[in-house]
Amino acid sequence: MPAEVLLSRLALFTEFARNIRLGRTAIMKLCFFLQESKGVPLGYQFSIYSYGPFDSDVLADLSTAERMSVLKSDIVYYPSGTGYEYSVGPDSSVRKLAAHFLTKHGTEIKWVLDNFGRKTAGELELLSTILFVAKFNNPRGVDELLNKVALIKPHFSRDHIFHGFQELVKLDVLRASPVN
Amino acid sequence: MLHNPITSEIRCPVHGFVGLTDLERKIIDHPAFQRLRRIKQLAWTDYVYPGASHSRFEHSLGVMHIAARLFEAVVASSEAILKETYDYTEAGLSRDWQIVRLAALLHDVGHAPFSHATEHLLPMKAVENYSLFPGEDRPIEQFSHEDYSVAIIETIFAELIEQDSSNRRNAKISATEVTALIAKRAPGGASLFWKDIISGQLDADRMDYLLRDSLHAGVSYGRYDLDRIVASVCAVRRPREESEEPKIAIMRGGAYAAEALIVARYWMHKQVYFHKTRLACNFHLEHAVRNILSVGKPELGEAFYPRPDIKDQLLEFLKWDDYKVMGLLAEGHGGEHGQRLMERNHYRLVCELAESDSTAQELSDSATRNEAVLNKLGALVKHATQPKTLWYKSKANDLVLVEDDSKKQAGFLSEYSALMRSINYGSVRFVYADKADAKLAREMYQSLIRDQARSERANEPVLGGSALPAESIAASDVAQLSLEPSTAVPKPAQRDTPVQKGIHNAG
Repeated sequence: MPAEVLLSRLALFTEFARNIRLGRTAIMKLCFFLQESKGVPLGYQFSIYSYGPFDSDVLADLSTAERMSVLKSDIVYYPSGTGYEYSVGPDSSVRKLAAHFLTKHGTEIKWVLDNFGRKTAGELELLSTILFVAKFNNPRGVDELLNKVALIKPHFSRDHIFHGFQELVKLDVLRASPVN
Repeated sequence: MLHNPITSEIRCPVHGFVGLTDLERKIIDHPAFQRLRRIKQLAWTDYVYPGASHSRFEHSLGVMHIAARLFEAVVASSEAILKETYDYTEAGLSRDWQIVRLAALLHDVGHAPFSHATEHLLPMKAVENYSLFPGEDRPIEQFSHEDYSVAIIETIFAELIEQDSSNRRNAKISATEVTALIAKRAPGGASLFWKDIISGQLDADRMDYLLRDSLHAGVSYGRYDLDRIVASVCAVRRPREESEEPKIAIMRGGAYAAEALIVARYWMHKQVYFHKTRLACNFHLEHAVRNILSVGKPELGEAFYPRPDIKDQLLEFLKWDDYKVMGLLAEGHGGEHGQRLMERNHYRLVCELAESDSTAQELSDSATRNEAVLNKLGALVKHATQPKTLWYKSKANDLVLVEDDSKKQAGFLSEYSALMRSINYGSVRFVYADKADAKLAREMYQSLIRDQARSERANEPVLGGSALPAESIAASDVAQLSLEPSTAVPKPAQRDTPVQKGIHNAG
């Protein structure tokens, strides 16, 4: 992978972390929306899991970002266990090195942060799963889309999934009805 | 947990007896599965490690065996979580046990000859419109061996699975449920929870190939404590702030075994999967097979294996195995690269160009510096490859750890393991030259590095960038000559292949 792609990804993480303290799930899903909804070429290849779209390369890049002091992580203690949150690290040089990427895709990055940055992990998992199924599983219509998502997320009600679908339509991520 | 009875066994050199259900036996006996006996797990690696000539057939059996052990261990340790989250019954768990085993057994059935080594010759996907996605075409991308596995299951094995009398009467497992655990993008049901066992950070695939490749290669690097890992896997309900879904994790008591698995993988990549000669052979093999496939094609670049999305072509693809390729190579159809393989006259390593990841600036500088080295070496470079996995596989291994007593998420393995945090294998570009030119190319490289080091000391970068990898400085210290690059380099000519990315050598 060309170094410039990695630098762009790391710069993206700093842009996320500058605005909101995020955990791994949120960063994973924001990258997914940015690439698969706005077409920003991050070079990730997401697979679908019960917890939504996932690419282990995102974790590898987060590890690199920490190693380079581009990001720093803090342990967060939740009632049901511990996790991580990321914030901007002391080395900000990556923003200069990938300035072209940040400038070129600034609008899309802001769009993702504005619309998805404050959502809970559960909401992000559901919304990203809806987009994934719509994009890659060729549903013939909305009903089939909802059914397929319900199979992956059996503990979400159909109403809940439909609400998520409508939210993505409102954001112009999905159409309300099939074209073909 | 009640499940289908194990009715026969096969002896495995790694795991001892591997048990089979009747349905699994039928699948294994099918010619499309038997084909895996004729696909070597590690391609041409036996040119380096003569014992490494084992097949995808035995690996597939091993993955199924480990997948079942992991499944049973997770159920034993976390049945309550599974039943609460997914409304599992005993029958439901037994059903998913069989689905997981079938997915593990069939996950590699779509491999091309010589496994990953000729994957670049899989064709491109057709462009389609997204029905619910505004205005964009699906990006063009290459089929993967998983796509072929899915197509073979749906085309060849679906009837065998779905019409099996016991399955039809009891579990009613569909082929789609099996493929959902294999494909990157296939739609899945609740059993998608188990996908981590087939393809995840703690999957049966890597657990098997590390042990098996290590055994056959005659090295110890890939060994780790499988029994401890199996005894430590569980499902964990994660903090809601991180995920709504349970995930397969490892109890803290098994952290050292998990650490050993990661170290084993690191060593195997360093010592076996990215061995310099293996990478060179992969390059020659890909080009030799491309030459074979190009018969009747107007352009060499249009030479691909038959497609998986057209049934006749998929059946044609299944005729391709190592035996067929070897026969064609023996008849001289592999062109220059085929000849090189037959005579073990492979390209020779000139240097490894490391990309530093100590800082972002260093990464940028080292990439610039490496480009400059390649340009200076010019036409001497016959092949340069930068396997993506070298960089990523050592880093994307973090596992969720669970407190042994409370069963709460305790954090991630990297937090507890200093060893894991220190493992780092930055991206490396392997640069090759023809055997006759290798000595000259190495001398030139060392001369360039020495000049660079001298300029560094004088603060005058000559290749771009500001610092050298420590390893390279050490190499320059022993350089004994001072060639003048501009006169020593042949006139620039095209390289055989530009830098390739994403070669996957393991798994």
